[in-house]
Formats: sequence, C-alpha cells, structure tokens
Amino acid sequence: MTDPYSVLGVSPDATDDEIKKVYRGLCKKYHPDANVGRPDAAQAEKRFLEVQQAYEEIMHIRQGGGAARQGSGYNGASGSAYQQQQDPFSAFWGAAGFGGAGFGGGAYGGQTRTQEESTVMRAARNYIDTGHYAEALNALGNVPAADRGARWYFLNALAQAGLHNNAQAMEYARQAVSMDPDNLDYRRLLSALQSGGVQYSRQGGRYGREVFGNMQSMCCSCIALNICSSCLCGGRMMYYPIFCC
Amino acid sequence: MLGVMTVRQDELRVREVRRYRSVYCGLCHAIGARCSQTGRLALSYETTFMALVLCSLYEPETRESLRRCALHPLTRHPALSCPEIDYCADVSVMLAYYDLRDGWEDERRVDRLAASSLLRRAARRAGERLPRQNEAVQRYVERLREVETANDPNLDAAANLSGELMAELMVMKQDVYERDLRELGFWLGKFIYMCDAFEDLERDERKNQYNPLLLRKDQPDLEERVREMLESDMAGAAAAFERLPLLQDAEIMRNILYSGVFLHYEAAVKRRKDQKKP
Repeated sequence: MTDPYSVLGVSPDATDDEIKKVYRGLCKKYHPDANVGRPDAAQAEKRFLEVQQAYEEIMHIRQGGGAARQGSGYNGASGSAYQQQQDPFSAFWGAAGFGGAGFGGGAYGGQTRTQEESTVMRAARNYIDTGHYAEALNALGNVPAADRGARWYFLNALAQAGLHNNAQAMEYARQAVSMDPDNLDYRRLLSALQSGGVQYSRQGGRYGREVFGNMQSMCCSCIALNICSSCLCGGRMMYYPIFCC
Repeated sequence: MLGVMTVRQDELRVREVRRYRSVYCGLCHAIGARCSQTGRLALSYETTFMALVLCSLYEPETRESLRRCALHPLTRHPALSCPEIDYCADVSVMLAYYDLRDGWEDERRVDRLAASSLLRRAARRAGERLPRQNEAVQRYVERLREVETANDPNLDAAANLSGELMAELMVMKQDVYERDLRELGFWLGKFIYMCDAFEDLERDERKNQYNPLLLRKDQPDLEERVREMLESDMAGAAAAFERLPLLQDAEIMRNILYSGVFLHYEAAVKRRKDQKKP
C-alpha cells in the first residue's frame, strides 16, 4: 500500500490545514473538468482519484481510526461510517473489538455473569455481533419486563448505539451500570459512549464555551481513556483501564 | 425547530463578524428575491451555517454588494451572492414553509397559516428546483407525525428523523464530499431537535405536545443528561466537519460548532434555575 502522505506530497508532520490546502490545490489541478480534451486527461483522472483516496485515508488515520475502514454508515446507503468518529467506540464494533479479542468469545461479559443467559438474550447478542441491530431490539423486546436485568439494558444499549440512537444508548448503558456497578463491560460501554462528547467539549474552551462545569463532572476513566489512546495501546478500547465511576 | 446554530459573537474577530454578516445578509437578500420582503422570516442560523460550509467547500466566485434592507434602512450592509447561497435560500424557504404549515396543522395557529401562505409559491418553486430535498422535507413531516402520534418513548426516534432531513439538505451536489456532508448534517439535525426539545419542555408539557424528554422531566440530573446527549451529537458533527477540506471561514464555523450551538442550551438551563429559585 502506498503512503498516503507521499501521494499528496506532504510530510506526515504537516498540520490538518496544510494537508487540506495541498489537497484542494491538487484537486483543482487534476479535476476532470479542468482537463477536458487534454491528451493526459485519463492520467489526470487517475491521479484525481488517488488524491481523493489518500486524503480520505489521512483524515481517517488522524481521527484515530486504524488502517482498515469499517463500512455501514448511519444510513447504510452512503457508506458513511459513524464508527470512525468516536474512536474508542469504534473499537467496540471494529473487527478487533467487540467480536474479537476484546468482548467476543468467552471474555464477553463473562466476568460477573454467573447464571446462564436465556435463549432470547443469546439471540440478541448474536444479532448485535453480526450488526443486525433492529433484529436485536426485536428479540430484546420479547424479554418479559420482570426479567430485564442489567444485562438486558447493556445489550439494548449496544443495539441502540448500532442504530445511531446515541442518546437512548447512553440512557440504557447508565441503567445497566446503576443496576450492576461492578461490571466492567457496562462501565466501559458507558464511558465509550460519553468519550466523544468529552473530547468535543474540551475544544469548546477555545471558542469561549464555559467548560469548567464539564471538566468537573468528567469522569476520570474518560481522562484515562484519552491519555491511553494517545500513547499506549493504539486506540483499542478494550485495554483501557478504568479508574473510577 | 430552527434558530440554535448561533455564533458566539464575543469570540469572533471583527473581520469574522463582518464576514458572517455578509453571508447572513446575502442569504436574506437571496430569500427576499424569491418571496418578497415578508418571506425573509425564512432566514435561519441553520441555513446560514449551511451556506458557510458550502461556500467554504466549493469556494465559488462571489459577488459582494452593499445593500439596504427593511431591517437596516439607514446603513448599507455588504451582502454576498453565489450559487451556494442561492441553494441555501431555496432550502430556507422550504424549511420555513413546512415549519409554518406544521404550526397550523398541529396547533391551529392562524398566524402560522397566514405566514405560510406568503411562502407557498416560493416554496413550490424551490421544491421544483430541488426535488430530492423537497421530498426529504415532506418525508420528514410525515414520519415525524407518526412518531408524535405514537408517542414514541425512544429518545432518538424523532431526533433521527431531523438528522436524516438535515443530512439530505446538506448535500448540494452529489459528489465526493457527499458522505461527510451527510454525516455532518445528520448529527446537526439530531442536535437541533434535541436542543429544541429541551428548550420547549415546559411549553410542550403545558400544551400536551409530544416531546421525548417529557418522560424524563422529573429526573434530577436531566440537564446533565441532555448536555451529554447534545455533546455526543456535536462530537459526531465536529468529526465530520474536520474531515472535510474546509479552510475558508473555518474559524467562524468552529466558533459555531464548538461553542455557539450551546448558547441556547445554556440559556435554557439558566432559565430553569431562575424559575426554581423563588
């Protein structure tokens, strides 16, 4: 695979704005409309596509994504990737996250769970693992109200998050945590859902937003999460230590 | 539903304020050209932000002219004009028309009916020019009504509809930027709906209207929870924004995205506190 920085001809240390500037310049130069009728039009178009791809890749890497892009966006059709932008959360869905080493297999919520899960709950979990979130919600809806424990809320939160229902997901995740405060998976999910907002609000200070209130209420695990993602473990949330909340 | 995407003006430079105004005035004049002076009530901060994004993305040739208007009869203000701003004017008219119609159909408010009739023709013309967007607005109105009648307890049900609408409107041309523009629009639309729901909580309760937050209104930490939801939406919007190759006016747009959008929320929190005190 070619280095996307060399395609644009910029240093990997360049700022986002420098990259955007170079990218815009190259787009103008190689845009098919600017090269109509020229003998090297076909080559320009190829270059145009390469430049687009390299730019996309750089932006993706800089927003904390790994090399591989996960598909399925908020509306599927356009393939836009919700999971790219909230990094720790993306690991929940990414190949190496939820279904893989982190939560998948035996490690999945196994630490505090003692009783066997019901068939419905297992079905819901399978649906979530395979990205069938609406079906997972259907299955969870069949669980009688009396049997809805912390785990039911946890699975519901995951399915809601998969459908971009971020507000509802946070509400369920919080419910799961309050019902079973010792479960690490539940707390991890909640801070993963919150972390995008925490990072976002830190930017607000630069533009005059009162962020003191946020900093106070921000939980330590989220801070730990950030420190960790930048230096230790390449943005895989399953390694994040949890210190509090 | 509109009016929350404001700038935090104290934090802008003088030339940035001037620049923002020239886009705002330009949009207002473009709307005026579509549906006479009165139609300018269609102007909103949301479509102004949209104009900033699209102008920054496509960097069109713009014409700047000094114009007077009914609101500023004494001084002439610079107003920009370009195809992107014209597009946003069409979108503004469509949004305002359906918003007013909604006010009439939901609450039988005669003032809304009267105002909407002023926009009817312009909205129809805009709809003919932008069939994809027009269809999205109509779909939104229909599906929102379904959610409202079903009294859907899911916090995101209505907000997602608003998100899908804004996603569609944010896309002016279907090109390589479509994906990020849609994502930006989606999260902004969700944010706008939720912010509005929080602001209108007491009013909706009084008038017995659908509001997804009503079920949670007695939670002691409601304000915190709403802030968290709003920040989560804006995190999505900001990430999509930062991926787009936007340079021109980027600091103005960041002022709105990272700070200005919370002015309404902050005011609503303050109002709720003041109400509780006495």
